[in-house]
Amino acid sequence: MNQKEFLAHVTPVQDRLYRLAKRLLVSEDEAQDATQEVLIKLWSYRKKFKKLKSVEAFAVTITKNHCYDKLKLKSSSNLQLVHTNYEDEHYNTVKQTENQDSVNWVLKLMNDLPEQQRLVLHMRDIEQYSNSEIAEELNLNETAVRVTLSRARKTIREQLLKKHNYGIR
Amino acid sequence: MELDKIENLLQLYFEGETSLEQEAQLQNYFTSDKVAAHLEEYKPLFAAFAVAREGSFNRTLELPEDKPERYWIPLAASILLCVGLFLTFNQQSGSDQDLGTYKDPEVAALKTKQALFMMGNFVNKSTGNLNKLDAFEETTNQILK
Repeated sequence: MNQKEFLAHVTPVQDRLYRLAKRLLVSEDEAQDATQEVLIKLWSYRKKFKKLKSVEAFAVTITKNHCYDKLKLKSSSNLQLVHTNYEDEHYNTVKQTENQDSVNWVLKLMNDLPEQQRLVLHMRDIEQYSNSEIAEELNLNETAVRVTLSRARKTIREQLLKKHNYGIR
Repeated sequence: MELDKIENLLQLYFEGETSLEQEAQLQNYFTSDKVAAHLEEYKPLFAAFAVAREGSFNRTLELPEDKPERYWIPLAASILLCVGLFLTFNQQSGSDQDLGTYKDPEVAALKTKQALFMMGNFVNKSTGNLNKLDAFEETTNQILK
């Protein structure tokens, strides 16, 4: 497989891999780095592509594991993961800003979810994978995926409504 | 879209029971500008999903060059080894066979006789020396009697 063929396989999924990495690592730069490393790793596995059921699923698995490794490395060296892409909440009189704020707030809530819920929610609501695909990817059964998904969505709703009704109720 | 239907879908959504198509309907509804006032609070949720879908990988990818395949190196090495082994063993067995020989049978018989006589002489010489050892035996027999 030459570079051209490889890129034809990889280009359609690289953005998804990046967003997955960003969901797990939070920092944009780190997600870009991670994606790059994952793609190079994939390049070294390219001879196995023909045997794979789905290159994308394989790529997602590699990305996930790579990010977990990164996170483990970070926690073991006692570095705290800092959310940099979230601005502190404050109600603005301008409606537009308020909306923007709430969106960032939701994104932050997503990143505060436990890892499993975060992954499932991301794969379902952002990347729109089917439950069976998610189940296969994460080694869960479909019921577990549905329950995790429901739990994640409800947590976000609860937090969101709490904020929305702040000072009203 | 009917409000009832959306509310129903929303409820299913939080139970994780909606299909991807139904979720797309919700997504459409909540990112449009016709959201009912009492559902306004869910807008940021779906807006956030839309935002999160936008990030993309923007580095240029530099793939490491392929190393030329060097499968012939071990092959060449093993051939060399085989040839080397073959040559050494062949040479040894060649030198073993070259003992020198006489073509005339009479000369050969003569030479053999000569060689056997020589050996006989040596044997006689050494057995003659061995006779002296009897003296030891006699003395030890005398002592141990």
